[in-house]
Amino acid sequence: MKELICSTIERNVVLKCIRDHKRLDLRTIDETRSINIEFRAHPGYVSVTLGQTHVIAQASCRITKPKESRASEGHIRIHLDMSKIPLINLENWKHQEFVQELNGILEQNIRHSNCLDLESLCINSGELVWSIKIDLIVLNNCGNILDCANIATLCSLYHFRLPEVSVHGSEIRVYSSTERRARPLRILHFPINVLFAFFIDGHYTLIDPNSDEERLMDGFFSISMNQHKEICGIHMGGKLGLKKEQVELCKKLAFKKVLELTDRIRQVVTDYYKTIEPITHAQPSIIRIDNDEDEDDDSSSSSESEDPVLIKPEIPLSPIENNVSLLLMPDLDNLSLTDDVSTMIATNVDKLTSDLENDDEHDNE
Amino acid sequence: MSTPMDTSSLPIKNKSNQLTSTLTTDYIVGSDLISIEGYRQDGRKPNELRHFRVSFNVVPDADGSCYMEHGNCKLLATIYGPYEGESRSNQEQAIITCDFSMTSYCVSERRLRTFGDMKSQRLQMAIQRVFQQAIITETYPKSQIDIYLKILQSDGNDYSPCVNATTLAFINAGIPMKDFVCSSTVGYIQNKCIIDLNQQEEQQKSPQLTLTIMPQRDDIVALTCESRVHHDIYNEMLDAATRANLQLFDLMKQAVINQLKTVLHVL
Repeated sequence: MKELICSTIERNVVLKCIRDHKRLDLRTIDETRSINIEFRAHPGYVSVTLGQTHVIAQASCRITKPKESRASEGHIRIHLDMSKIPLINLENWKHQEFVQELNGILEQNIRHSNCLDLESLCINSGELVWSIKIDLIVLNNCGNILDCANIATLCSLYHFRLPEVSVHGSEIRVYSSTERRARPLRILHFPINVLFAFFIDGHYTLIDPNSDEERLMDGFFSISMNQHKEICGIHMGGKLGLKKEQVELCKKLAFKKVLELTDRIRQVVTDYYKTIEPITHAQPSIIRIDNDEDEDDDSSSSSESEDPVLIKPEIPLSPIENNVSLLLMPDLDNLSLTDDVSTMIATNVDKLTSDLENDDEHDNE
Repeated sequence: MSTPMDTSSLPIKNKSNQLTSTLTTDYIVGSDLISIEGYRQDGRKPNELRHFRVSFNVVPDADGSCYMEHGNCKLLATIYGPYEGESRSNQEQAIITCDFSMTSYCVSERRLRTFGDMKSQRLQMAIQRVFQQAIITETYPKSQIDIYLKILQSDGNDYSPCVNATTLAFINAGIPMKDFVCSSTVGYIQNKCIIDLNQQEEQQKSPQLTLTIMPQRDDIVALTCESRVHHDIYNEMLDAATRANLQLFDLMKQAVINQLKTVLHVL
């Protein structure tokens, strides 16, 4: 993390800025870069960018034998793969050390803090357990891989869905996601890592250093906390001698960040599943009947966006289906969320004439 | 008729049974690491360090060496240097390298892999980092200082005794340092902070903290906390660790002064 070749001018400029409590990318001292989290259809895949630093995580599961000393606990493993591309300036052996160090911190963060309930990964105590592995790949390094990778790991764990399993005596049957909906992992808390960089003999601190700042820092102090104000891990590195008060300050700053990020991670993953669930899983969701031509009807589309879980988006029901659903489930109008139930019934009856229905809605709202 | 005899003998039997039974259940169950009277499994109080013994100049060929016994942990620290570094060495400062190994007989089960595994590598890096900070490296440009650590008997955490032994070996070698470097562990078991954990206490799943400080400068050089700890408990543990380190510092300083006295015959 240090010992990269940095020109004297760059070093002078960055250090001068830090002495004036400013940063080159116009952030404040305790501001992290913008975090962008994206998912794909495959559960457990997440791509996180922290500023320009880009890390991909993929969670995978396997059924294995448990350890003898812990017969009813599953396993979790984190593997950070960093090829030479993101870090050109480090020598061979230093690169290896750096990767190992990061790997160690990430793994300790997840394992020792018990963020994942390992006993919930048990299928058959003493014989079969789930073993979760998270592979992280660093695509671009612009400083602070540790935080980015940590967020990616947590998002990946939260996003991942474990296939349903049924045990019949000594046989087990694993159901695919189309047969039975896969269930999420039991995550007890989110240990979020915040990295502090120290400069000039430890006098100046920054959160979330970018690549220039990381090259010039004396050392780093990474603290991992969860939203319940529990400290899940502390690691120091580099040439650092810190005072107790500095550690206290770091803790306080870290806690603020942790609260924001925990909400963010939860929000992002639940949003993702809200948007895809009605399409992918086989069970029927509760639907509102008045759902067809909504592009020209602003009022109904806005009311639709209020409760996305209950509405099947953009899949137009054929008129036949509509009729069938009306016949078999006449109580559906009671489940609709508009206020005027009587008018709803009237509109439902006129289902085939969808124009009329829209006009009625216009009148009612 | 026999029962009165039995009942008269019973109270005595009961007493001894009670005493032995509490001890055996404590030992078997293992959950009572601090007994009711407030003593730990090895007879220490929660704020007592393990037995500490040091001897210097153990390896005459080396520039500095120290054999340390910290409780059941016995290790040897040797320093070679400063000597001319390799061509790629830093032009302005000395490079410090660390080599850590254990013997096969250091733990209760014979250990086949004595060096190069993950734990050893991490420890090496950590110690190298700590001493890169603690040694005044600017006094020896273009040179290299090697630290060799060998664990002869291991009792739980190796990192703290290694740091302490290395400090003393550096002092024995006469290499200028900013300050002593002391390290100790702290655990939180049964609502009490206990310092200087041995292997049994460390294997519990309770919160633990390893603190490495420079006591006179009051600088925290390394702090590792690998378990989930609540904020307030963490503060308590940090205070307990600082106190433990100051105790250790006194012991180490006394050891150095005694060594000087014997060598220089200074009263």
